[in-house]
Amino acid sequence: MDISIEPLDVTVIGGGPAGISACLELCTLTGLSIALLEGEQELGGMPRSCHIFFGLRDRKRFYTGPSYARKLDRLVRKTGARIYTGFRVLDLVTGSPGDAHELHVLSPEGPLCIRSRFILLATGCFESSRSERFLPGTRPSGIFTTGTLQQLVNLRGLKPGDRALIIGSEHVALSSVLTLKRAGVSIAGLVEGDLRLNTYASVAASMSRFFGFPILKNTAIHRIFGSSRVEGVELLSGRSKETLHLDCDTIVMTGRFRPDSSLIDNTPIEKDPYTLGPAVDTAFMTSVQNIFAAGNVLRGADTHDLCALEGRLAARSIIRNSRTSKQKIFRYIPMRAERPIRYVVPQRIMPMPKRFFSKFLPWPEIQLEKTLLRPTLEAWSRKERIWQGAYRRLLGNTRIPLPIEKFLWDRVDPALGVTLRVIQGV
Amino acid sequence: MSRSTDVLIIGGGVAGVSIARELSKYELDVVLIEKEADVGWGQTKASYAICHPGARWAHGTLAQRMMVESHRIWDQLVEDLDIELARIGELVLAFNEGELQYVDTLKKQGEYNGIKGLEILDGSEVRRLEPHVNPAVLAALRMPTGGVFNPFEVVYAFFENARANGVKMLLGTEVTGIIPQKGDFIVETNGGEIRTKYVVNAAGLYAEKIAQMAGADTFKISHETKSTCLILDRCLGDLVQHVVTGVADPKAFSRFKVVMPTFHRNLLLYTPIPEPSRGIEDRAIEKRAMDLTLQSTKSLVPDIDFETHMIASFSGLTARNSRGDFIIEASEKCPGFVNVALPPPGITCSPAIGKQAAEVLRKAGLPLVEKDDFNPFRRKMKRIRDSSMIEIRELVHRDPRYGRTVCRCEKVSEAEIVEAIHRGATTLDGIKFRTRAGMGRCQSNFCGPEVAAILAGELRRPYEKVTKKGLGSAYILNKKVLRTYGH
Repeated sequence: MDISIEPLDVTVIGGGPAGISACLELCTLTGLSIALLEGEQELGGMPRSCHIFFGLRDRKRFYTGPSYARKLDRLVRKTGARIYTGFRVLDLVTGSPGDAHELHVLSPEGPLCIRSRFILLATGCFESSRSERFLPGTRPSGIFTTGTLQQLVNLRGLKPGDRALIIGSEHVALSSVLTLKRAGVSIAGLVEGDLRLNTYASVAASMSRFFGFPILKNTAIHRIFGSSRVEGVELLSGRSKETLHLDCDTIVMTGRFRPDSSLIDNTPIEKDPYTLGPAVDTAFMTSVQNIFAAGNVLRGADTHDLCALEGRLAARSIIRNSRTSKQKIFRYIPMRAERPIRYVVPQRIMPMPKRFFSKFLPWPEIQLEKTLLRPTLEAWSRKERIWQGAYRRLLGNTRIPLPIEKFLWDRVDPALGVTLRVIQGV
Repeated sequence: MSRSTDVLIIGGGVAGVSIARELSKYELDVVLIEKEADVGWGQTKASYAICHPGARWAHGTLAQRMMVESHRIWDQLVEDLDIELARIGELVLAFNEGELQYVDTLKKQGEYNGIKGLEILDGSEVRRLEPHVNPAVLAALRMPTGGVFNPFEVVYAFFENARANGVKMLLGTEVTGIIPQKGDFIVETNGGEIRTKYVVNAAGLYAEKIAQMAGADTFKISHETKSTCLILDRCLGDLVQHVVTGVADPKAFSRFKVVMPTFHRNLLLYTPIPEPSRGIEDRAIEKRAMDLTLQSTKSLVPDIDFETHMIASFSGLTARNSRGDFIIEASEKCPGFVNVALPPPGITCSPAIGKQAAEVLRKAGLPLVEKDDFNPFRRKMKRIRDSSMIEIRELVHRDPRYGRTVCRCEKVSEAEIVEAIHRGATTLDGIKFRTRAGMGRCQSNFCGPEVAAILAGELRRPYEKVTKKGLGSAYILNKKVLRTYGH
């Protein structure tokens, strides 16, 4: 009945795009014992319940979400990595430097303890709940996130309601439009509090025309109605200050992703103050030696293919570390962000005159709380400005790459680090 | 359907279930009816669940007497019923001269009320105990007997123990009329008539309405104050070690702002805000209340970005009666009709309320003969998150469903959800309050559909008949089988 696993070299937590890609990369180096732990019964992660446009940047081919998940599943099962599905990590106990780390895992056959030299966290992310968004009003049923909606529709074949309102306009909002349409749910509207849509405006506009729903920018949710099931919402226009009532029986909250990082809660692993995800350096290592993190556990959601690439790079970093017994000490420079910048990932970077990694991985990146028009981004260290960049427009809730190769690294005080701020902007 | 009973308790809040548990000690037929689909969904659910030490209530009031008596009972009761209570103590902070006087008076009143262990700590001592509170703190009153409950566990403990001892629980049953008849009462409900000798009206916000039906209304209930609590992520649960309260109204001890860890180490914020309600059914959360709560609790614990850590919020109405004190009495106009109208703090006083109500019934002529086979014990369910690896091994051995986690944030297994259903949960909220599935950081983003599926399976209902909180609150509106992805 009881199962035990001998000490491992690498344990990857999370069988989504980042975790599986990391496993595939790790397996190119023979001799490492590798385990992949996935809490769900199947591998694949989020793409299992999503639909279109998968695999472009990492597999250079076009897949649907489920077929992409199946492809990754097939690939990783061909490797020597041990795959454990239905294994939920309950606790992460970090070892002292040089020692193995310990994972307390709940498997279908009982609990077990896994000791592993390297750990890669690839647990992904989820969308903010209602209270995090400060949505006022009653608390009826019928309020879902896109993630829940896609589970209901795409994995269970259920139709959640008849008329839905979409909140938020990140890329995932378009995905929820398609999911709702697939289930035959009519769309009452798409509401965004920001001045601009946080996604491709032209795509959103054509969807709005094609499916016949209004897009309401600069509009806040003033109140949710309905005591048992959602009956409608009252919207407040930011420009005219007028209220507008919309009838709907379902509300889909999209975007505003947060890392699923509760594993590091009681560990010494340093967290990003905003995302609560692990803070990492450019080699994807967290503040605890030999614990790495990659994919969406680092921040709000990026597309799966970037996560997959990050998984690969983190795997390479693990391989590099596994070859030397001696730990190289790099001088990492801490990065901080001031509001309205939510976060900067990675939180510690190496000064580089050239862009590290390939062009397709736009690290380091920042995210803004809201869209800014004509802003100037600045990087400061001590009392000196080491970079300034003027932009025509920066969209909120999206990834904005930082051109760190332009930073004046020789003027940076490594102890104080770099602070990013926005100087102007509406 | 018609049934008859000795005592009918109207209302399954903490008062109703506590009275039910007390009466289940005696040779009586007791029925409890509750209009919601589960117990504890009125004021009890929206409580901040502080175990009040009892200094805030004036000496001689019924509320104060009940509190003193309850504190005598709690420690034993926590053992017997496996109730989740953590006596972490309360700190009342003072930031200026006026507030120093306030805590001084509060301490005197507390000592007069017979509370032990009260002490005034100076600023440096407070900062040592609570490094995150506002460093401007001058002094604080420490009340070590204060604590926090898991409010749901209190209600479910009374409920389950009363039911195990023979009290009949009719949930989803609403009273539509009460007719006094030859010393008895005919209580009309949406589930048929119930003939009863005694009625206990513990209907909370609706107590006035119920009393009116029988012509036993000697008080008014106002439901004008709406309070809002904000729940923050567990990563902030160790921010404060005590229930940290601050003065919100120098004239009223019962109005204070709170920053405290909940029993499960989330952080809870509360501020009394004179928020007018829009009627007795109003549970809506106001944007203004959320903003004000965040703003005013920052004066207690500054430097923490509460906004980015919020995971849940709820609002509820407080039933304040016209007498401003607990009412537990037999109606003079209508013999055999006992009114129980309680302003806060109901949960802290609940054990004594049960005893007091039984006493009132005895005086009204109800014979209380002790049962031989009364079982005073109740055990809470086994939880993965509270168990050691060895205990988990045994649990999985016994039921393999313990090995399958459903809620990843709170580490709730399938077996726990099934057990919650066997213990009486019929709705998603009922499961949530019993197991904590969906109370974590992601707020049932991941586990919602799965919990609904387990509930549908256990209740042998189709998926679209699963509700969040009873009639009309279907989780999904209509079933339409689409081609699913994947297989």
